[in-house]
Amino acid sequence: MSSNHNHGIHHATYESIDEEVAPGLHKQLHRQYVRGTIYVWFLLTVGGVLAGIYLTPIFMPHMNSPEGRAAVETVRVFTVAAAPVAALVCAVAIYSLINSRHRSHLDTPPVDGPPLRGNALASGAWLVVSTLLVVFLLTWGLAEWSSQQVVHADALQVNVTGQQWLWTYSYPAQTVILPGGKTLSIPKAVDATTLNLPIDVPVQFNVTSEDVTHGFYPTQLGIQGDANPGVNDVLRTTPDRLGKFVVRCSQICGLYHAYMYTQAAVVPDSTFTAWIAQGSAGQVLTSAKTTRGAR
Amino acid sequence: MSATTEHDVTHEGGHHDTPEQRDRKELSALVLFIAGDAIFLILEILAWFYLRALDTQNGWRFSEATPANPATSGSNNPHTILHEVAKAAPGWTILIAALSLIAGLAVWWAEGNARKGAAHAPILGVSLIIALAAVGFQIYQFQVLPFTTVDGTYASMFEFFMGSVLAHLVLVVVVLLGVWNRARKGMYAQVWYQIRLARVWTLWVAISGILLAMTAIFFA
Amino acid sequence: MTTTAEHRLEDTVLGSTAGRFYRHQNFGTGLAGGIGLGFLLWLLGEYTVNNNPNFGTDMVVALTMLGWVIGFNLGIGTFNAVLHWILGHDQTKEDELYAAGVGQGKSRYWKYCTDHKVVGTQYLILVFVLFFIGGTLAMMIRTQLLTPNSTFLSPQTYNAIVSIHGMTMIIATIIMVSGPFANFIMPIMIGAKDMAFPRLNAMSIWVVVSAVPPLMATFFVGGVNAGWTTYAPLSTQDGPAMVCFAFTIITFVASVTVAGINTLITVLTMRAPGMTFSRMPVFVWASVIGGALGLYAMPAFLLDMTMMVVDHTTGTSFFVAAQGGSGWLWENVFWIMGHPEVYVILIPPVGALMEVLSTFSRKPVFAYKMIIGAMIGIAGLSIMVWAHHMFTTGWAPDLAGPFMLTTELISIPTGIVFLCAIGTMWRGSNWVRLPMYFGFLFVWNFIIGGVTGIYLSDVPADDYFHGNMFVTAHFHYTLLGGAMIAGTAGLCYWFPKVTGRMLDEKTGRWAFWTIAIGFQITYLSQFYEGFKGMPRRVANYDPIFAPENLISSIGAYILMAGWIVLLYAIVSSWRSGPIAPANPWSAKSLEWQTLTPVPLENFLEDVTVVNDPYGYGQSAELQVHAVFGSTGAAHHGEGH
Repeated sequence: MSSNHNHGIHHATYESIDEEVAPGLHKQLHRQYVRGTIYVWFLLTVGGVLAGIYLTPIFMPHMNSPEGRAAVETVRVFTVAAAPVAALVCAVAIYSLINSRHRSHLDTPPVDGPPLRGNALASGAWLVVSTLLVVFLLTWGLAEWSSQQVVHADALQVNVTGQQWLWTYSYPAQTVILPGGKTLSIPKAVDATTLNLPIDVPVQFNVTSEDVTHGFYPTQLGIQGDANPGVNDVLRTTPDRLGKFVVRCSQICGLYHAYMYTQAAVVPDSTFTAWIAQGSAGQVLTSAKTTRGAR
Repeated sequence: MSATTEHDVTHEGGHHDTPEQRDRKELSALVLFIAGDAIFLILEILAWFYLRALDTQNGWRFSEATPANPATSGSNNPHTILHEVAKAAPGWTILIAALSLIAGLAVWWAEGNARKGAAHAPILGVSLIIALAAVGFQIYQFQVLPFTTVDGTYASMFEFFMGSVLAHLVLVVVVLLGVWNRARKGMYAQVWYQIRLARVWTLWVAISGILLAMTAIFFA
Repeated sequence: MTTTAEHRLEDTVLGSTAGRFYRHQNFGTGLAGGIGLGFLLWLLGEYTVNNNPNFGTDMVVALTMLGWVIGFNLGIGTFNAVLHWILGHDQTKEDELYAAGVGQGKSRYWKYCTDHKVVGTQYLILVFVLFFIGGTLAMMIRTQLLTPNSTFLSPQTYNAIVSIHGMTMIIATIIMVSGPFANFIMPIMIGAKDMAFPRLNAMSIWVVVSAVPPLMATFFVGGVNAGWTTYAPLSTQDGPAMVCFAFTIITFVASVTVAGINTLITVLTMRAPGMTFSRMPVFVWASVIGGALGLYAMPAFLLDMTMMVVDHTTGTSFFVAAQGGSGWLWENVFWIMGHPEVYVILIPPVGALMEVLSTFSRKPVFAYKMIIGAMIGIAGLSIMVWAHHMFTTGWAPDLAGPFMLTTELISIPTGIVFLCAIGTMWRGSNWVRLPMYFGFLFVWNFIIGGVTGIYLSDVPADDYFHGNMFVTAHFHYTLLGGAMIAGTAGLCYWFPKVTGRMLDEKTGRWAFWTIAIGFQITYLSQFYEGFKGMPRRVANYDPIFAPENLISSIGAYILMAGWIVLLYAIVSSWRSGPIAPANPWSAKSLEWQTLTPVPLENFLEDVTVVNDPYGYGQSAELQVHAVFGSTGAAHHGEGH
């Protein structure tokens, strides 16, 4: 007959959880098992939550726009929300591992465990909690997303053209009415290979491509969109922090895809206007700070 | 475990199924294959409508032409002319779809005959000939189109549909060839479920061809 | 049927081979056929269509690839069954036995062989070969990325390597469990004598073998520059390489379709008496669900690739904007395939994992109905999420919300998988042998992979992370750290049954720890690269990403070392490891109740199933999964 049944033999070397043998011992070990798992769960959850709150801004770059900061906040919130679930899974796995160290190298299997085929309470609670979490995360994301759909009546138009293998920005002649009544004026169309943006001015990027699909990726602005040939992709943001950022290409576009990155900057309005004025003379603007990346 | 009898028309892997078991397996397999093919068909038709709706740079029914060579396109030359691509005449499309349907119905008739023990091999031969004719006409249709593959996306999708129908009709010919030959040799005297499989496949190809034809004719 | 006392089927001595040319067909004749017909069609192409200025080269390559695929399969005998059927010749009993490998010894592994166990083993070898190729390409990528401005590889070569690494791994992971184990183990698990269509089974392995050389050929005709996703319109620039790539996919799709149909029909029609759906092991369900999902997804791949070939060879413009085409058509059709496809990759290994967790916790699978429902839910939802790969493409901004919804919903059934995994482990009498090591690693890796997927499903976050190394790290955590590790658990678990020997666990544990640690170093660093904004698929990078890339590459070398040690353990154990008993794990499912090596028709007696295979810890009657023979004698989960 099989050795899978424990006929009254109590093995002292590992926990016997056969209910027929020692019910009292069984309940005590059960409680011990639950307690141990909860301790590990608690520790891991705290660790995960702290990591989410404090490590996220260290790992993610400094962002120059609300969309960028929204991405950072999302990472932080989602990490904190996921921490208890991840911690529970890991805690059970870790505690099972700890409990099994006596049996790892046996040549024959140990006695069977309790035939727990299911637990309506555990399954139901899991389903409910995971659904609530998903609803929360979805609401968070949809709220942020719809707040990003707001269209400013007056935005600085920047036409972004991707081609193999460089980005060109052109600022058409325009007058932008800023919140507060001031205006920002670009008298003549200006072409540039570097991107400068004035602070606190809503920007609308009109992105297209001359040849294949590129990915317009101004990293610290928290927005991104493909440059597709024959169509115009619209991206909007309002940069609200001064500073340098990088524009990269996020969609593989052939041979020199890796080198399609340029420095860019969010600058004060006066700096921007002065820079634009240089370009109105008909020259394509580049900046001494622009690098094309190493070859 | 049933012994091998003359009723077994296929043997596989050393163990013997009864004809009923083989029938069930092979019909189920064909149904699954058709399900996958149906996904392909749906996506094909969706691609038609998607490209038509996007009409990128007016390229659905319009093709770039240069004065020198009206049939070539693909040039970024701003001086090229856009010319409207002629629609394909529906006649050949309808003919080919009709022939596939007739072939399928003929196989159905043969199946009925086989069930009753009447002659079925000649009918299968006729359906094979009809399917071959459909293949021939489909190949011929490529020659008589008023456009070529380089003439924009309507032309591209139309010719893709034609190629898809052609490929499916070739599979019909292969199946009917086998079924007709086996019928001719009397292999379906007792167990004729494979004629039903041929009928299902041929009718499916006919239906999918009709759907493609309707898409191409009504939504040019 | 025969019993041990009588003659065994595999000992049948077959009659003379005179006049039977197909008894001489093997891998060698396949190669000859493929190279021969490929060459002939190349010549034909050179002398007819090559002068076409726009499409000539691509048409010649297309003809050559067509010749290779058809010629190889003609040469090895894939089409023999169809041709015989058309001609009205049916197999004799001797032919059937020969086709099943009787009387051929080891040479049957080089042939078209209908025995599902042989096919499963052939798949296993192919999987090793593909992972070896893909892994070597991966090491070349990581070597290039050791330093920011490395010139180890030119950008052209690097892009080509990235593309083929990706596609090789995709093929390998799709077949890594469904090939070896859904073929070898699953029919035995349901008490069947073979699969429903043994000849289609043999066809599926050789067709997928014939798909690999065109993929490797891309390196010699210019290389694929566009990643494994070969987005149009970039891929229209790649000419002959893209034609070869498309032929690989078209051929591969044929194989997967046939294999999926075979799996489904086998489970639907060939279960042993008494094996109701609720007594089927989780792995059988997983094979069915994965197979069905593949049947849905592969036609989309076929559509994209045939359109690509037609674009290259006849000038149609499905994807070229100047003539009305759109890259969005490519992308939509691609991801309609691409997202379900990652679940085709994931679901069978998860099924294998549940078997491992159950056996090595000595407990039933927790919430059996829920894990089945979860796998079905994942498969069903996966059909509706594809455009989360396209949030930043601009194709349909209004659909971002709905796709965010469906994608986040997938985390619910995926979470159920975790519930059932930890529920099975909970208070288990855990026996941590090598398969279970990989089981634990799966849980850790897939938590990280799954959670980071949720970040990506959030559109504002995806606006930052799309196209950067965060995505790369996410899918390596789920596909390599998750699916492949679960597949490795399955391999270690079923190794004794498939090879007849015990896997060297001491070496295996060394390999395990090397893999586990190397993996974390490699891909956690890549998450960090993604946080900082490094794009993916770049041959050189901005020096600000240098430290994490260096660490990731070092991790990759450690990871590779671990896989090599595991491969060494596998090969040496297979050749000369200790002979395995029939049921070394005292497991309950049917594959463990038969002999090792498994007889030709799997069981020597008739099988009747009486319970599910998860009766651990229950009363004597419920412990028994199946009874054997006409007397109904019970065999318990011991070794013979």
